[in-house]
Amino acid sequence: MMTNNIAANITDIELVNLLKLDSRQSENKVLRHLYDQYFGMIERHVLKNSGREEDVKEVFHDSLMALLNNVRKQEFVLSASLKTYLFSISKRIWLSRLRKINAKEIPMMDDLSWEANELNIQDKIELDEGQLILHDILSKLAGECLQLLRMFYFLKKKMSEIAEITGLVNEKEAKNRKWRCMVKLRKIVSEQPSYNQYLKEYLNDLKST
Amino acid sequence: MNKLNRIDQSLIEKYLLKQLSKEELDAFNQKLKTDTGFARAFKIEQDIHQCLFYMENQETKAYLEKLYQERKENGLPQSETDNSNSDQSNKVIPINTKSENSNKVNLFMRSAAAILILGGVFALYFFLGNTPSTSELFAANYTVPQWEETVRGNVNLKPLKEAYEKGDYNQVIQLAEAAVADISIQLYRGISYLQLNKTENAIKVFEQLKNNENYSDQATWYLALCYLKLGDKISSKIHLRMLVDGTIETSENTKSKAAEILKKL
Repeated sequence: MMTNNIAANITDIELVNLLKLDSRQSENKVLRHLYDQYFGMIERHVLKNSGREEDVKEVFHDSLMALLNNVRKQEFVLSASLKTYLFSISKRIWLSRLRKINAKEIPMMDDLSWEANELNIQDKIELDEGQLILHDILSKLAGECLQLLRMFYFLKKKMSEIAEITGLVNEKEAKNRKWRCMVKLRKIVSEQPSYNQYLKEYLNDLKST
Repeated sequence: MNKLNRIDQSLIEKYLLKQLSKEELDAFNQKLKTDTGFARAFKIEQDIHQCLFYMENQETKAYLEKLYQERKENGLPQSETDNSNSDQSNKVIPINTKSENSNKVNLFMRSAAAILILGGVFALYFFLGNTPSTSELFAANYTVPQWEETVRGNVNLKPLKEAYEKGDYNQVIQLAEAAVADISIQLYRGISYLQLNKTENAIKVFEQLKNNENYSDQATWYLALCYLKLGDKISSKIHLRMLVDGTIETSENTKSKAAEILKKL
């Protein structure tokens, strides 16, 4: 079992900075800390507002995912405490679920006090049929290529940063490495009949719109 | 092979990173409509982008699930903070607590919902004809494979073989995990998980096995069945298609079984 060596008196800014590091390990430590600190708070809110245990887990996990996705954006600034931020996201997620199940008679114990557009809750990422095929292929891609693509697309690091992290000579070399990874990936993808069929159907639909 | 020049590659990257100006975005959308090659290349890049995010999120979700299970097993940590709106400050609330009344109401509502759902399922079954469910398709197509002697004839496999043939699947798993480097026995580990209804564990084993060219077709077949068992039609279809269209080479018998299931899905 992983030990959590985050100090109890760590500040919210420090937690957010840990999340912004390119490190699964530091991300996991922060998530464990937030879990310990705030799961109970979200649990009480959801159960008080007609939720069940399974709802608590889903709402809390979705809130943490939303927090992570927002923190990863370069323009993110934490303008309230993490407690308030998480609680507001959770309230919004739970309210949205209650509306979906049309629970009109269910009273809300708390009003939403956060501006909706500040929370910026991203839709859950789902893959369509073709993307699932691609996901299978990507899972088999060599670690170095996947890491590079992850840094570029997911962590939005500049090529100069990627060069430094991966030990490449310079930015140009990082760009070339990425180019070669994409050529390799496109070649693998183009040899997949299932994916090609999916692409063909997609392009036909595109033409007809 | 799809070729993409560096200028178009750079344009697609800027689009995915949301770095295009309005004018550039208009030109980009126009190019998508008029240049099929570009549209194709873009779709691949966009799908890769989506997959990367999905993979990241899946890893995080798996970790959160682990934290949840730990919490259930170990109870609340001491540092739990309180919601300032709550009137239960400083009270330790075990994770499974509910009030008695809400228990009874929930039980009634869940029973009523279950009855309605079951009734709906039966009605659909009788009124819409005999479209088999995923679990029916699984049951009709899954059989426990017989033990096959490997070319090596490794005598150390004897206890594992005996456990498998006896149906002692826990023992099979234990022995196979102790010899995880031996690929030839991992199929039986996956089957054992399936027999014990630990389908998600089975999927993990078959996913790894799929990378081995000697076992990729069997692993793909069992993955398709696992997903049927879980009711995940899309994932099942994907694996069945790989067998049918030759992405994964397999026997004609397996190919035709896969094609039959696909027709029914």
